[in-house]
Amino acid sequence: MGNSIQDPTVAGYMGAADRQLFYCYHAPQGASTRPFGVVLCPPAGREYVFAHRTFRQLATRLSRAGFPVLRFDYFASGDSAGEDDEGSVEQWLDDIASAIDTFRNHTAGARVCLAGFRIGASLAALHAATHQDVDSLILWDPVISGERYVDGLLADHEHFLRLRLWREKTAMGADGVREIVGFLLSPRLESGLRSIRLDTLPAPARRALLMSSSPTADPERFGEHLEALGMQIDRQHVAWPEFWTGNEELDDVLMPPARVLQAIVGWAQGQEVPA
Amino acid sequence: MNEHALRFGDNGNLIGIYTATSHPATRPGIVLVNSGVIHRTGPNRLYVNIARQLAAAGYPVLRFDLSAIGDSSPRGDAVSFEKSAISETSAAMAALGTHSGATGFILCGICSGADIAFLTARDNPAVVGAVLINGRGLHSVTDNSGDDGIETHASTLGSDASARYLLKSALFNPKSWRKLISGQVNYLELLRLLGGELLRPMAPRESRPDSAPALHAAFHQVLGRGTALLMVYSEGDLALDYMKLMFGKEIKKFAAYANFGEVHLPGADHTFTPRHSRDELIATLRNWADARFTH
Repeated sequence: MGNSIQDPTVAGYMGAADRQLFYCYHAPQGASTRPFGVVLCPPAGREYVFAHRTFRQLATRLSRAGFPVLRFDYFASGDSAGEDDEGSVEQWLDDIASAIDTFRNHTAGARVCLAGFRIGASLAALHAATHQDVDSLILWDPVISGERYVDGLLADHEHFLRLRLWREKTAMGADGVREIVGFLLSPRLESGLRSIRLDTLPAPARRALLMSSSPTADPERFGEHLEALGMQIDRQHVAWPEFWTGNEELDDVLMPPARVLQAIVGWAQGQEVPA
Repeated sequence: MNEHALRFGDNGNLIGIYTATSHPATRPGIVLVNSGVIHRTGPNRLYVNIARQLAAAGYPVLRFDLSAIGDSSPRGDAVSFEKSAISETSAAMAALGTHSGATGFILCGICSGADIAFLTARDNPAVVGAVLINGRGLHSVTDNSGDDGIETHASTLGSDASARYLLKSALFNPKSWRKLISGQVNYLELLRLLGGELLRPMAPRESRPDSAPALHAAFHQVLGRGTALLMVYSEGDLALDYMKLMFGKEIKKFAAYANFGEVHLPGADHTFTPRHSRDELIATLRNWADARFTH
């Protein structure tokens, strides 16, 4: 029997019995107690498969820096309840609200920084724009245009089909559900995702970190939009290959992007005064 | 939803999701073993769907993360990956037994999950069945010689392009994910490694790997003990080349065992990306388990 490293993470389910969501709560480590904690909003579909390890590492690093952290799986994704084709933007926004409630139950009402990656960042911003329970945001390579995002997912699936060369194309189901490289895109989810336009969003919080790691990211216009709304925006670009894609040219780039995570934790540590 | 997060293993370092049956379980418990570094939801959320559908059919299921994968913590000792994986899979069986009352277990895994499932079945007589899906390291999960052998062999057999691509894909390349787990990955080193492989002459390999006789013996041991084995192959998967490499024509002898089965799934890729292939795999598992374990 080996000597395992003790892990204080609480893993469990939250929410209504028929819509239970899996979550992990990472209690803050060490002596320091930060004035807020972080709720992590993951990406969706295949991007989450590639990013899961990174999300766990981000949660661990933040908790070691003294922040309470909660991460979770959206309905119909990961370990949460729901069939593969039952996800929707409306449901996932409700899930973020549930996650914040659960986080507050664990922390006796700590203030919330909502952090998201890719479509998770977009959902975090959408939630914050319509709720008053978010102090600050960390938006890491957010999906600015839902139209372009969905078109990209469908193009990825076409690329996958081309790799399979002689095989038949997968047809759309009678229910209108399409396949996107191992995951499903229902008409409802597609419609909700396509409607996302972060560059028309009202101010979601008083301050935000706009983190970009993708070499192709262009967050400038979005950052300017948020600044024009009176938000305090910190922009950081820490280049890293797009590890969340299945790009075969990346081969073995599976190590979490340490420099990006370090920059995010550093920014959070600098936000000692509640907004 | 009838699912619960469990902690088990040394100091509770392993995390798994237990899917309970609606009635007291009378059938074997099923343990799903990580496929590469993909966490316990499985590729394309396949393990979640296997667990829910098999539990609805009366089989309690535990899908879990080996140490340092998904949400399970790394080990603090120097035990080899193969030993720890076998030990942790046995711990998962014990945890499932505690919660469900099951005393017999079916192990199921894709790719490296198949390898670990077979090695655990070899060592643990509580395993009454194993479903080995696209496994290509059944002889050892710490010996890469088989991978090199398959690659050479596959090139001479003209294996399909997508399977060869997946061999190189990060999530399923044992050379990368084993290093990842042990924290040895270096991006530039990996590029050099892959570049070297691509430049290596593709000479046909005529002799069997040294590990083949031991694998023969292990198959006969497991089957002779009465453990049911179901080999599942996606169309054109390198696992087929691996089996040809390790067994040659001898592989036909296993068909003499009543508890040996083999299924080929046309239109499925290594990770069951097309939706219909996932549905077919789950139906195959269900039918096989019902035929073997419903009395």
